Amino acid sequence: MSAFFVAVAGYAVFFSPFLPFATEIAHTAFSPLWNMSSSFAALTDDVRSAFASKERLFAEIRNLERDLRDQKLRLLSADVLKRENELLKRELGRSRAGDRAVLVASVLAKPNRSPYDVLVIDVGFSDGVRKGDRVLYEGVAIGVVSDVFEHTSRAVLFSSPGEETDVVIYPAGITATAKGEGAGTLSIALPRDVDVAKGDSIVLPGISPVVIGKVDSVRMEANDPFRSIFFKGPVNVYTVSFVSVSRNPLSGADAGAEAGVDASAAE
Amino acid sequence: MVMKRAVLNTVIVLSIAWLPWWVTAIFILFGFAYFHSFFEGVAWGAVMDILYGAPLEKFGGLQFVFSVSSLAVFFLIERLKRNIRFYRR
Repeated sequence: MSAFFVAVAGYAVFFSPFLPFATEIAHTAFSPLWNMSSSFAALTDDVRSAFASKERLFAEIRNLERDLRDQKLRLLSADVLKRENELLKRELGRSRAGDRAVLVASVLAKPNRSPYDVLVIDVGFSDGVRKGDRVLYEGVAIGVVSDVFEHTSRAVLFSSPGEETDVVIYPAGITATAKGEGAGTLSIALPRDVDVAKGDSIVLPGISPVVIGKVDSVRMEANDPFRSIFFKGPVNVYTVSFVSVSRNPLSGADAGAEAGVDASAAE
Repeated sequence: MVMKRAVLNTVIVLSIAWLPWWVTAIFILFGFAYFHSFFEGVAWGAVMDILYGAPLEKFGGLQFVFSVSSLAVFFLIERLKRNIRFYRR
C-alpha cells in the first residue's frame, strides 16, 4: 500500500506539470538561505584580511600590480583586434550586436551543492532568460542554461561529467566535441596526426567565438591512434559569485520555444 | 526524540543550502539509521532534486538521482533494522 502512495507521490512531483511549479517554490524558499551564504562568505573574507600580516599583503599587492601591468599590455592588442573584428563584421553585414543582450546574474548555488554540477542563478523567464542561453564569467563561457523558471534558472557547466559541447580549436581551426570530465576539466579525442599544442585556445563555434579554455595538456600513447587533449577554463567555477547570461547566437528564436517554462504560463 | 528529529531536519535544510551534497547525504543516512522510519530523509532527497536536478549524461539522463537513491536506501535500512537485534530492543 505504502509503495502505491510513494509511486503516486513520485509521479505527482516529478513526472507532471507540477515539477516546474515545485522548483519555483523551492527556489523561492531557499533564496534567503543562499543569499545568507554569500553574505557570510564576504564577511569571513573581511575578517580574514583584517588578520593577515602586512608583509604578506604588501607582497600580494606587488604581485597583483605586476600581473595587472602584464594584462593591460595584452588587453591593448586584444582591444585593437576586437575593434578590427567588429569593423570587418559590420562591413560584411555580419554584426550580431543586437542578438547578444547580456544580463548580469548572481549565483545562488554553486556546483558543489549537488552531484549534478549545476549553477542556480537569480534571473529567469521574467528577465528574458531562455533555455540554451550561454553563461559567461568575464567573457569566458562556463555553461549553458538548462532549465528556466519565473525568477531563477539552472545552468549546466560544460565541464559537468559526460556533457558534450561542440568546440573549435584555434589557431588550427579544428572542429571537435569536448567532453566534460568534472571539476572544471574537459577533454577532446583527436586523431594523433592533428597538430594541437599546449596553450591553444578552445572556443565555442559562431561568428563571434567565445573562449571556453586553453589546452592544458596533450597525452598520446604509442599504440593509440588518438591523442587526448585536456583543458580547463581560466575560471574556478566554485568561487564565482556573479555571472552574465547571453543569448546563444546558434539557438536563435527557437530557444524560447524550448524554454522550461511555458510563455503563457509565465504571463 | 521528536526534538532530536527536528534538530536533524533543520541541520539537513541548512546543509542543502550551504554545504556540499555529500555532507547532506551523510546527515540523511544518519537519520535513516538513528530514527525509526525517517521518511523526511526521502523528502529531503526529493528537495535536492527539485532544487538542483538536471538530466546529466553521467546519470543516464535521470534527473532524480537523489530521490531514487534515498528511497532505495530508506527501504534497505528499514529492512536491515528488522533483522538486526540492536534495533529490536
